[in-house]
Amino acid sequence: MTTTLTDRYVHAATRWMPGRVRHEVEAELRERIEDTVEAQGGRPEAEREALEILGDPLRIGVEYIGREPALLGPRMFFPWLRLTALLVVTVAPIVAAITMTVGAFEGDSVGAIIGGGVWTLLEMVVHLVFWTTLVFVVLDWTGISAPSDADTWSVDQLPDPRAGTGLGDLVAAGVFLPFFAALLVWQHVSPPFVEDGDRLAVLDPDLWSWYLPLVLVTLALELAHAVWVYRRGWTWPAAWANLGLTLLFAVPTIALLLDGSIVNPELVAHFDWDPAVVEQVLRGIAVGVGLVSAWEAFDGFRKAQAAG
Amino acid sequence: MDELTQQHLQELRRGTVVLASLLTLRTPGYGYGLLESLAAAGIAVDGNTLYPLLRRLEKQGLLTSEWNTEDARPRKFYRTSAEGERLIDALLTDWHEIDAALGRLTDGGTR
Repeated sequence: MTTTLTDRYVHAATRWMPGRVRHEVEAELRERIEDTVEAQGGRPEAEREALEILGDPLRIGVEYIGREPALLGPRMFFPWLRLTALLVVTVAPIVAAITMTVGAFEGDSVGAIIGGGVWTLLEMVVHLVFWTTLVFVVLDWTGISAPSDADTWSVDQLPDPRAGTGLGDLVAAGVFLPFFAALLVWQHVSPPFVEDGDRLAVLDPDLWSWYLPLVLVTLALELAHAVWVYRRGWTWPAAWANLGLTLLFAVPTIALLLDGSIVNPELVAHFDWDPAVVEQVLRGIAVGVGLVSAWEAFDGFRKAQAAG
Repeated sequence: MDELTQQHLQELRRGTVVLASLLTLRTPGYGYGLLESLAAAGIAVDGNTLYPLLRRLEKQGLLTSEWNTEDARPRKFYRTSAEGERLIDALLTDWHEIDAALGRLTDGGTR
């Protein structure tokens, strides 16, 4: 399947629109471009020329539906999304890691170190999202940044519709899911904690009776799901399946975390951790798992909606 | 023609594109075809104006549309609706009244 300049232009002009409207505008824009190219005699360069004359696809898209997306205009939305995502996945973990390292050097208890790290992580995410959004909204509303690229826009700036529509997700799933599965097995088979020659697993070994196999199966299904989404895109069935898989992992995990029965009790005894602190940390992790799962499930439907 | 004159001419003609489009689309037509018929009739209009205008008129119920998929490429055909016809009447009446009024103003000065 080849992507023509027209495909990329239409994608760039309409990608921020809601599903049904987007399909309409896509079809109309395609007709318009193809008619214009044909009127030029259909020369090979005609397509590029026609698109250059049309100009910035975002402006064209806005003209078609007569309004801009809400809080952030279309010009700001994608830069905002890119920067926010980048900051959240890089800066937040780094700062959390630093907090935990400092805590470790100061001789804090393991519970306090982990708790501090998780807390810092959440706090950083909230701050990063809030402040970047604020900066972008101010820029957008004051029009300071409204770039004059109506003049400088060129066809070469078109994004490739296939980029980021799934390959990145697939690679991430292909790396993360097996890694997580390996981690689960490793913590049981050869954990780093040893007492009297016995290795102490991190998670309660009793959980192998049902929970851990269930998680491994869920991970395998998640991987299959990622391949399915990569090949077929985010369809409604894919979003529902995503919801099912998310619940399959989240419900037992959160239940066990709140119940306190996920950590190997022998390990707690070995380190002489304060049970109250352990409980607090597990509760914090449960909240984190809940938030991430809710987002995961919602995100699937959001993507299915966007894909129309 | 200087820029100022051009700007005022453009303003003067703005509303006439709607009227001309509604009149032309009594016979169903698609975007680029309409662009060409209007140009041939002496009403120059830019694609950036016309295509969004067609969408707007359709939303306002003045045009109806249908995708024609019989040709090699699908095209959206517009046709003036009954409501569009009513608007044509109103606009034409007003157009003639303005023409008459301007005629009186140019001939007789004040009246």
